[in-house]
Amino acid sequence: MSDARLEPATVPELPTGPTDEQLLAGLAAGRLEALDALYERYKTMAYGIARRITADDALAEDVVQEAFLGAWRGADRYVPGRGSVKTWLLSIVHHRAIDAVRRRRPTTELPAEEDGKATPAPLTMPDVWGEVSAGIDREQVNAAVSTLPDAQREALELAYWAGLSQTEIADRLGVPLGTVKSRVRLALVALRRELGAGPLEHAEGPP
Amino acid sequence: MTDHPNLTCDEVRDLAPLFVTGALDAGEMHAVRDHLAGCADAHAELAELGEAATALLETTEPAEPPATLKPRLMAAAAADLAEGRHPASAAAANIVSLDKARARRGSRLGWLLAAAAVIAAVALGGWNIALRGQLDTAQAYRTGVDQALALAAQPGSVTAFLTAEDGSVSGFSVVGQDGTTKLAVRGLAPTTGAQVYTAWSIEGDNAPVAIGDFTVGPDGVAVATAQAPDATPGAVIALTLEPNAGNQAPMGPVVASGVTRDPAAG
Repeated sequence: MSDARLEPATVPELPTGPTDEQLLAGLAAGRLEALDALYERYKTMAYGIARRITADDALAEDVVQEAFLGAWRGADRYVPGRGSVKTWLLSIVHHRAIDAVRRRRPTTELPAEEDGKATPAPLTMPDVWGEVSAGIDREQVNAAVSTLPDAQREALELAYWAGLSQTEIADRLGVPLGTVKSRVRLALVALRRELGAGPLEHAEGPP
Repeated sequence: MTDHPNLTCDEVRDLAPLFVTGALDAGEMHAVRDHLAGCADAHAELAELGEAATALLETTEPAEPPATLKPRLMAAAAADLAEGRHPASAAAANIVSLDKARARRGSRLGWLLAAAAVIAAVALGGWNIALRGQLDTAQAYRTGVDQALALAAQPGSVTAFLTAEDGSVSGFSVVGQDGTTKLAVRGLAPTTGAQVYTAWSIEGDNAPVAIGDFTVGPDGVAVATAQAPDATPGAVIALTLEPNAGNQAPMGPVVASGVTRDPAAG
């Protein structure tokens, strides 16, 4: 280590400095230092999510790089009304990680009734949803997840973190497709209620 | 290839929980998206379930990615700018060409003053050189900065600010009209054994061209002269740490990079 590299006087922390929205505007304007700052802010969350889904350190690294590059190139497509920058960014990571897991897997595992495409469609930006409410922390969500019946929690975990498709989840659990759908639906509805988002108005689904 | 079935609103509602968790396969995801794009119903149920799903992101234990990831990301992002893959790069190129002639006459001095202010800020920020008794290091760096500034004042020169992953490396590179390149960089880890830092010029889609190798001592400062192919705004200048000198393609990690720009344009 060079003598010239002394400890910096201050380390930028979350409460100070530009907001996430300002950083994203910097990304849209092509400012590398804004990308640098956004990366520093969310790299551990992003890498944690990518590693959890891929269970592969090297693949997770690629996923995080792809996700931040996606945000860099597509920052002007962020819609402020549809969730925070954090959720947007981490949703991109989630989306790309699932895509990476699916690409890694042999195509023979694709459901037989599919139309036979061997390669996935080009990566699109994820369908991004907002938050139940701002500032929810890990403990709150973990507590809410722990209130779910085991069968629902298991279906939800497989759907969100395993990179499996619905038919693969059904195989894994040994239940019909319809049961997978209803368990994941019930789990999401309960989670939303536990997190204090109020009753669902639209999510009852078809009878 | 989009020969997936057209879905009804009820079918989309049925698939909603798996759509928002990412558990549909690619064809089904497309079918839902196609339906949403053309449907009069806003399908608010998707947003409601989706909000619950994104809360799950919070349940992940954060993990520190390898330190090599950031330089890789930043180099790729810089290459995006240089190669026009970033939306802002096309706009920036436009402004350069429109304002070039006028700016070259009027604002070169103004830009140089601005650059000098940036360099002064770099020199003061983070390192209290005088108190640490590192005047020699500071002097070496300043000499390099002076030389580079002199070159930057020549018409046709382009300049790149070089930055690293964590701000530990900073400096800049000036490429003169004839390709003469002056580098002044500090905060570099000292080289050991056969290691060298190699400066590369990357233009458009072309492979990186090595423009010079140099070693770095314990002071972490590099003041070097190299030879680039020419002075093209928008080229990426990248520094890599190579296991040995003379590599024709980068083998080691990118430690700092920047995009050259015409000082008169900004």
